Amino acid sequence: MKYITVILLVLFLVPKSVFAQVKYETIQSSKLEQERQIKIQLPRGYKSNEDKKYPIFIVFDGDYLFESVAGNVDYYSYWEDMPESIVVGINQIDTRYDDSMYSEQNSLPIETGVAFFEFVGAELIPYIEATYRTTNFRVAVGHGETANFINYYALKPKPVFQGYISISPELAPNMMDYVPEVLSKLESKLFYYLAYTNNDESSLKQMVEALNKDISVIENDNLFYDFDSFDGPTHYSLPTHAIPNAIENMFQVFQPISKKEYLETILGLETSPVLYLQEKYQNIYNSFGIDKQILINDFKAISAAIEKNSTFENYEALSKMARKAYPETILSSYYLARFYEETGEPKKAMRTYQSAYVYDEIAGITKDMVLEKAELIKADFGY
Amino acid sequence: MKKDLLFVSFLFICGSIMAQITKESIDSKVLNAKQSITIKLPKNYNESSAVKHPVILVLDGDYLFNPVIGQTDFQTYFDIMPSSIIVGINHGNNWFSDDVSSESLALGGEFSEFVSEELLPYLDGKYHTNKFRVIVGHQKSTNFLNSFLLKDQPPFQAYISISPEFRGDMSQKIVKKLQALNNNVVYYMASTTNDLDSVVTNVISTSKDLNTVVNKHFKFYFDNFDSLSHHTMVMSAIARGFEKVFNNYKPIKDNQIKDNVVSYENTMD
Repeated sequence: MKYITVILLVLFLVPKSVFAQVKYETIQSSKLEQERQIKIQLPRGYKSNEDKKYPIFIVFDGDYLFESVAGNVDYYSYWEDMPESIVVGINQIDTRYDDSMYSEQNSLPIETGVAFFEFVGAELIPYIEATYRTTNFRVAVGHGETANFINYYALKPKPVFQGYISISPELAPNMMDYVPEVLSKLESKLFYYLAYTNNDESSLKQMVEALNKDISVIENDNLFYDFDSFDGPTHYSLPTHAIPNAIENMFQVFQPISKKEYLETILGLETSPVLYLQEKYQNIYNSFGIDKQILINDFKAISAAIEKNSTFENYEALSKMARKAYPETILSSYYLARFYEETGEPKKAMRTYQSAYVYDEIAGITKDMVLEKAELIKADFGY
Repeated sequence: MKKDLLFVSFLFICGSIMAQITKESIDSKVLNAKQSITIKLPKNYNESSAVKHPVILVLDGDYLFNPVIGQTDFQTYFDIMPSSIIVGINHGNNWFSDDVSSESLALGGEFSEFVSEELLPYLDGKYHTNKFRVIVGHQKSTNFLNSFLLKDQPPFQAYISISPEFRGDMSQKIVKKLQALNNNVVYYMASTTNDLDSVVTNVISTSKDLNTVVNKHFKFYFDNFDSLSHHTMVMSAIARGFEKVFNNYKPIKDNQIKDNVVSYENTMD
């Protein structure tokens, strides 16, 4: 009887996986010597994908920024514009001032500021990583004072965060020098987004403008920098306007090949578009620790570029990639057949088209289509 | 592993609860089927309190429900909108096929009847709701959203219409209706210069018509975002749209929907 009750309870408590689940936890930190509330949103598919690992977003000012970041992360993940991620918000409602405390001499954290810095890096992140399946890609989001604070992590060698979303930062004076300095010497990839609004205080605007000026001239291939200046929002309403832009920019390489990317980049490549595709996915892995399955959309884009530029020799390599990504489908055979067909091997092309018949249809390539192609070759060459 | 344990020992979990998002199923006579909805109650929601909340109905809830929660929680925190009950409808395409004629659209079809005759009364009966209702829709669903405007007494007072794809003569119909309106309506519409040319042309001409409407009950806001992507413009429209809809929240608070006022509490939940 008791057993049944337990099962029933569990059934009711288990959230449906269509929601991103959000839980609120109160934790006791020895660094802070106090309790702290955090919010955690797991991806919709977290429970059903037991091997999958996820990037982490740490949202400072989580008392008001968390839901907005969580909503955006859920939205962009839904469209596969970014990897599904774990979002963690830190409540700083009564402690914002103490948490952000820095020295007037050198602008670096002191006292309670140091404790908070260590709490995030040495307690919170290790706790999240020990509890959930995570990759090594971590993003920090801050607004106002905390948008200054997240920069302290960037100053460390091998910084714990690889992505920074700094919204209307109240910069400590020396950060104007420190930040461009470290960003110019980056030895690994770092994504940095900075934004402010015309309605920010003029001192804040001046400092952000100066910082933007110094960062935008940095020439370092490891730095991915983006800046937005908004017209209209107030200092306090800016985050929900800036967060979408920040996410879209940060995960550009992750996104499906767009029409623009196809027209402006891929069609004009001097090198193989297949290499471009390989590098794109290698880049996704290197940047976010995500082994992403190559999208059909992206295969179609590369195939279209091969057809358009008549660089049919590239179909052989594309066929290999398709065999690996979609082994059960017609895609790989179709590409291989196109390769033979256009490189003077009609007989092999015909046989490959015929053999393609057993695989599943995909990407608009049908069984009828491949059989028809085989018949055409047969008729032309009288095999 | 040992290292992990060591770290965790510094950090004790004192408590853990889940956010209040629930899935409900409504037995609809109109649709002759069960329709599931997703509900997020305000953080301060209290069964025994007399405080009443606006209802925000999110079409395309599959992907818009969470971002709308993000925006409204954010605005509520800063007390620039009242805490509200968010209701998401995950419809896929089952209630809105491509071949719906403009005539039946004008009536909103069965789904419209389900919303006004079953869903809204159900919500009003079960939760502490006030009479201020907002509806949000994207692309195709905006026709459905607009069909509520054509009713004698529009059940929604605020409309957030994102990248609308007007069917038939829907845009002329709403312009005509809004001229004769005698209930307050706030209407926010957004597009991006990156939308299809045909969509942009239609939206811009509709926005011009709506701008000429002279009616003290009607407030209209329009954004044509410059070069924002299809996906990002939706997030920008939600941020701008909700700010506009609750632009007059302070005055509204003082006059019309007094029972709405809630004291702002510095609690996480």
